[in-house]
Amino acid sequence: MRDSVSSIGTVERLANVSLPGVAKSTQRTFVLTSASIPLILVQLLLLIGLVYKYSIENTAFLHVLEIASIGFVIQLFLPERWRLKWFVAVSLICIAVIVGQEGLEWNLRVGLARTGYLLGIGGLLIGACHLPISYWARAAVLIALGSLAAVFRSQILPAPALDPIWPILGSMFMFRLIVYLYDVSHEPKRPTITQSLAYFFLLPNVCFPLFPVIDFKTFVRGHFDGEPRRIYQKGLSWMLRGILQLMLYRLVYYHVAVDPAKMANGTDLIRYLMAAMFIYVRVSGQFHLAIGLLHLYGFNLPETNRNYFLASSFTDYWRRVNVYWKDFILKIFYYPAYFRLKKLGPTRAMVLATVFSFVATWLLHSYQWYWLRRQFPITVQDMIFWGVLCTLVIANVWWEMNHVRKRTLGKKRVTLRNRLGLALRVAGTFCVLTLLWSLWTCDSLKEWLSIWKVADWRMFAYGALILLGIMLASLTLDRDVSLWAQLVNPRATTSFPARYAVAGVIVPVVLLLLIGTRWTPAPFSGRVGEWVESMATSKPNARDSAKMQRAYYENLMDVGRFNPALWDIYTQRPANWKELNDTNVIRRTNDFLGAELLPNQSEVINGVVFKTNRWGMHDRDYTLEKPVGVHRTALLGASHLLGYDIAYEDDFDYLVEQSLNAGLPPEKPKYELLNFGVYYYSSLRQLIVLDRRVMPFQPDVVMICVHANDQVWTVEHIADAVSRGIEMPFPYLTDIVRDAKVDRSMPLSEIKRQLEPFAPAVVKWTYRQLVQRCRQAGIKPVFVYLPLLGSSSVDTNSDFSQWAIEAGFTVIDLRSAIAGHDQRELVVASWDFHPNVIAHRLLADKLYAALLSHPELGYSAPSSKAPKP
Amino acid sequence: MAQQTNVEPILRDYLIETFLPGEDPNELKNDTPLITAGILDSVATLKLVAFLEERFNIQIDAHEADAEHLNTIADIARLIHSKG
Repeated sequence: MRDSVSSIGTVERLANVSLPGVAKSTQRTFVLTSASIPLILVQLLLLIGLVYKYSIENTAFLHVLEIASIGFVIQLFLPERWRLKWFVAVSLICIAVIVGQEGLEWNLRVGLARTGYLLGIGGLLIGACHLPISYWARAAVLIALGSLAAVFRSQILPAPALDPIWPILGSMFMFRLIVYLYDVSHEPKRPTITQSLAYFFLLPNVCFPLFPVIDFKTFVRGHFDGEPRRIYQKGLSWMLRGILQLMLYRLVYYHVAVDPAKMANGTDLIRYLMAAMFIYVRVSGQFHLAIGLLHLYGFNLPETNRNYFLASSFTDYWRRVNVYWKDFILKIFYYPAYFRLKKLGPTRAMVLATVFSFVATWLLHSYQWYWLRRQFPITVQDMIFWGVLCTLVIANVWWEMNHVRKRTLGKKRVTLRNRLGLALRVAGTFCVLTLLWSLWTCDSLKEWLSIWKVADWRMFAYGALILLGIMLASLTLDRDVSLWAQLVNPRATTSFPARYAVAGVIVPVVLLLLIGTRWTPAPFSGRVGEWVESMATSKPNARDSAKMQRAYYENLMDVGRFNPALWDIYTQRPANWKELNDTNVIRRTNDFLGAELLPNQSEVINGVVFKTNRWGMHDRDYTLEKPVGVHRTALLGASHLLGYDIAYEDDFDYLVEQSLNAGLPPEKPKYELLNFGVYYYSSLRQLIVLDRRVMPFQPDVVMICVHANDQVWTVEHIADAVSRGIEMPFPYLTDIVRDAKVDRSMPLSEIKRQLEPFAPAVVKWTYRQLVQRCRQAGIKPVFVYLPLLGSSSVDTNSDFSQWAIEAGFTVIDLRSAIAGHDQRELVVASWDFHPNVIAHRLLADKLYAALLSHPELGYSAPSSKAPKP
Repeated sequence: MAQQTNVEPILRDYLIETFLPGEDPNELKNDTPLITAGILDSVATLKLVAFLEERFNIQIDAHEADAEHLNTIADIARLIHSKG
């Protein structure tokens, strides 16, 4: 190898350098100028700022980006022959940092150990690909090793040390191992160990479980196969493109997506359909970020997708939507199958090979889900989606086999007639794919069929407008931008496109950073301000927040499968994290309540001792008979009151009790606050608890603790009871069910949709009943409005306090207790939005002050000698 | 090499006639990308493979139906000659 220039800062011309691992005969000349690298670094810094400012993805990605950026700068000074090794080193550092997360803290020893496990198991799998046996024998060995891994992944055999790494190992190896085995078995030259390690332990993969299936040959050959600055610039441009897609997805997620249970008309239906189509934008954004990041290390990889909304046929869509997946299926399944079957004739071979490829695609999606979430979903929607798409692709391919598709070497010459024909085909393809995506992402086929009941003229009107927009886009947007084509073409001029860097990356990033930053006045308010805020939000929307809360308790199998926001949350969750349903402190009941705490339980849940007293309360012990002279309060509510993931001594009700009794002997308290909280209890369920469990304790005050999901949960609980055939606990609800015309034969979403118009009336009735029952028993009713952590503020349009006032409650609003605080510091974990110890302390302080400001409730401050809370 | 020169015009004529009718053959260089530029998709690639096998009496394997072996006329010619 000849000498190469290793310093920057002066204009130097590198001598011709041959790249290791690249089978090219052409010598390439690289030029580093003093202007280009600082411009690249400025762009990278701005992108990091954008990721931070808009909370793009998660903390893991930010860490990886920071480490990768530092690694990139160091790489600029490294000789060519060290760069791939350096990439491997940086990748392993990223992995150690990310896998070293133990609960809420980072542990170096754990990070190193888990990285070691990844390297060990990965090395074993890579080594199996190089065994001196036949290709199929090696495949059999890998299947055996994979099956053994699956035994541990399924926890049939315990290996707790490995549990946290399976999703990452699966993500890195589940597909790339197939490609790697295929390539090393058909290539004459054996890859180096560095190339193999670099291919599998890609640094962005550790924070993106869903990852493009990079081809091994493309990966190796593409390493610095062009002018480095152009590769870096392409990567930075793609990273920005990825971030913009993620922001666009958020806009759709917060402002377009609608819960099928709440759809009322054709407009809602169109929103639902469009949101389903846009789910993939999130995946596309992540892919662009990941591949863009790899460009910084010289991997000149192809684009991951190409304007798939503008596909003009189903084969065109298949070729555009995920180019890496298409190439993977072609290489591993379609071509081998076709070549074996071609003696049957081209048409038969094509049909059978296509069917084989789509069956493989379908099963591999579930196989992927298994490694990432330890579930292997097989659903009717999957079968229909892939089956229909396969049929449409076969039809398209048959047509292409028998008709010549117009191709050109230069600029395409098209007539107006051709353009219009193309636009119509694009619109038709888009329409069919929208329907397919909506089916695929629905909870069930039954639910999908039921959503069409809300179709009306609005659906056709808005649908036509959207299709018209798609047609216009196909006429104007689906073409190579000359500058972009120049950038991606390694044979283009070697001059660095500085103006592209400025116009294409720096200017838009600076504009985005300036919008709403703390150093400038927020330029937008109202609706536009909400849009800007939602682009910077990574929290679940209202629908998913409710779904997530249900998922805590109901182990919903496919939460997150088509829901990137919940997916993110669940992939961060440690493998040994317990939900309440996984514990012995709770039992399900076959009645309207759904579940109740068991008495006298003590269990360590997520590192915290969770205890229940003899009455099944997460609280200290109390006598049934109210002691003489004691002021007793019963608090009813859901998990925010229950104090999930914290000890009862840290719960806000206990803290307030302690504050009120400050200075008094513990055995002679003046005040008792009894915590009747159970997870997922709406005010409707609390009405049942009031009758059955609270009254015998003779409270002086009853506090109904509610948050913004109360109405949503009310509908869910009634719908759930109807669906399970459970008798309604009150005649009023029986009337509601009859008036809503729902029965258990309907899909759950349709039941909810029918009940939705009655929800406000039911909630108001519930509040009135709570007040009435309390007053009849001489109890003072108090309505405590709790903040709901982890939800986007865009969705907090529920305000029940006015209804509570009208019902006759004394209302105490605690939502402002968390004002001014970063909610990320107030939740138990990024995957569990229950209030943590800090949040409970804030709630306790606010509640204590509020109680003292309502002397009619009977609370008074302790003596002046007692310590303040 | 003389053999290589004989192969390339045959390939060029076939590609123009089958996939690029009406295009100027002089625009189709030996290093013009076919697969990576989208001129040959999977259907066209298999058609090309069938042609090569029949015309030059060679056997092409599935793993050779990719951009590495069939992306340019030069690549295709190299593949043909590697088959002896």
